[in-house]
Parts: sequence; structure tokens; C-alpha cells
Amino acid sequence: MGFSYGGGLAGWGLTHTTRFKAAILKEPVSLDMAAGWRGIWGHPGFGGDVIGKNYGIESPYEGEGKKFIEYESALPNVSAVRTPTLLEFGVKSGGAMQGGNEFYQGLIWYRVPAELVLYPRTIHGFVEPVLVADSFRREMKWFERWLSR
Amino acid sequence: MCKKAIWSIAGTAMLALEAMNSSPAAIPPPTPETHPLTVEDLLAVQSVARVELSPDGKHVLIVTRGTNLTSNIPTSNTYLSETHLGSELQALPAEAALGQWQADSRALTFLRPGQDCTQIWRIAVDTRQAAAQPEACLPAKGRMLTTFRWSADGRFLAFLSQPPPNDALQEISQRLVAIPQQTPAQACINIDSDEARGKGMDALDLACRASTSWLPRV
Repeated sequence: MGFSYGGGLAGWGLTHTTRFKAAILKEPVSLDMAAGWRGIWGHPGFGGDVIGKNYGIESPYEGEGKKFIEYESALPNVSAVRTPTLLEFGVKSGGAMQGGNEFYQGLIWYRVPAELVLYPRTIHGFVEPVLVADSFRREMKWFERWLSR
Repeated sequence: MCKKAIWSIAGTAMLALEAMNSSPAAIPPPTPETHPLTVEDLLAVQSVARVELSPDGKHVLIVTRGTNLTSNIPTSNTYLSETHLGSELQALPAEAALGQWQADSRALTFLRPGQDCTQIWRIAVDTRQAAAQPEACLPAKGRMLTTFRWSADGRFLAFLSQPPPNDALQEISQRLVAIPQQTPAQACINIDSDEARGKGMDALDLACRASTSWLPRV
């Protein structure tokens, strides 16, 4: 289970192992890291000039750079997932939801048990008490359901 | 209840330390009062959201967060306390949640918006009385003043100002301004460059440290 970047890491983990009985990705950032990087690549101070240097990537659109960021993304590797997965997003979380619906659709396509829950009025971070409570209850139920098998 | 919650957190930590330092003991059997942790139990816990020690370590500002399912709003409480065990918690106004200690530890300060300007309030630790500093009136010009820091000598104040939620000025949502406090003869420092804009507190620290020598690294 992970929230935010932790959710993104958890999502990536699911595409590389089948050792977990259940997973919860809460506002994962981002399940489509490739799109995330491309979305800011040309922005000075925040894109290719910084990320490119840090990761040794010339371009995210071709060659080794393209391969690298697609390997780093959960979405392009969704066909490898076998773990029942609960996804939770706030509808006002903006870019945090990048790839979220697509990842969920991939799980359904490959017949992996999955639920996608969208929380109204919610940004990146659950604040409204009834929604926090709903989220906690769903998470408990999800783990109870899949860990008891 | 809040006091209980805070000290129960401290107590739990101490018990955990004690357990680590002692030989293994038998786990007590469940009592009728105990039950498996539920979501409701979790939501009833007041979590400690912020702890700000005074520079001399004798007092502490504590901010707790909780939830109220009936009203469906998050709750927050702010307290001032001495740091030794058993100290009473004094409830503070909500604005004090973002309070900052004076460098001499003699008072906790916080910002309170008024009609014409935002005022600096002080809570002296010896009297525990809150009072506005009448000479300190920060012109907000339709903006909210949020995070702030004192200079080490207490003469200057750096603060972050931003438009209120849903304001049309979102494109300039964060500007960093440092103004002289109590010493009008000093030159104003306006840190409002493209570089500083939109980078939040890191930029506040970096920009102020780069531009002046008075702001300590926080």
C-alpha cells in the first residue's frame, strides 16, 4: 500500500512481482511516469534540463531515454500485474491521477480484480472526515477480503 | 481528552522504549475493555501535526489535528506548554497554529488578519497573555499572509503572502516579501523575482539567505 509517490512505487512494484496478495494505490504519482516526464520535459528548471541531467536521458521520445522512462512507468507494464488492486483518487488532484484510469482499465482487461474509487471535492490528500472514513473502511475491507484467502 | 491523547502518544513511545530496554515480558491477556482497532478508533485519535520548541527548549507549541464525522470538518487544536512532564496545556487561538518563537524565547508570535492590515500578536510565556503589537501593522492588500520567520535579532520579519482561495490573482499566487520591522529607516527588501516566485518556503529560505545575512537557516 502506498500514498502519493509511495503509491507510484507500489504500482511499479506490482508490475514486477506477483508476491503480494493485495495492493492499495492511493493517489499514486504517477502510474504513467512516462507521460508525467514528457508533460514537463521542455519546461526550464523543471524538465529535461534537470531530469535529463540527473538520469542521463537525452530524450524521452526516442532511443534509450524512451525505453528507460517506459520501464520506470507502471502503465506500460500493466499486463504483468496479477495482484488484486484498489485504486483511490481525489477528483481534484489534477496530475496525481495521471494514468490512473488507464491502469485500472488495463487491470480489468487482464481480469485482475480491481476497484477504482473517485472521491469528490478531494485534492492530493484526503481531508474531509466522511471521505477519510470511507477510504479507511474500503481499505480495511479490501485487505480483509484478499488477505483472508 | 486532547491532553490525554497527546500524553498517551508520548506514553506509548516511552512504553515502547521501555520494552526495548527490558527483558521480554508476557503480553497481558485482553480485557473486556479492549477490542481490535477499528476505523472509528483511528479517526478518534488526535494526531500531533506540529511541534515547535522554543529556542531555549523550555516551552513548546503543539498543534493537533483530528476529525469530526458529525460536522464533517477536520478539527485542530493549538496549545502552549512547558516541556517538562506533567505540564498543563494552555489552549491558544487557532491563528497561533502557524506561530513562531521569538529568538529570545520570551514570546510566541503569530499573525492575525484585521480589517485594514494583518497584526502581529505576542503571547508572553511568563504571563501567558496574548496582545497585539499596535505598531506592527502589515498591509495585506487583499492577500493572506501565511508563513513567516523572524530574523535572529528580532528586528526583521520575512513572510509569505498569497491571494485568498479562489482569488483571480492565482498567477501570482506566491510572492516573497521581506520588510523591516520596527526600524522603518532600514531599506525594504522585495524578493519578487521570477526565480523566487512560485517556489514556496525553500525559495523563501534561499532567497532571503542569498539577499541578506539576517535570516537564519530554519
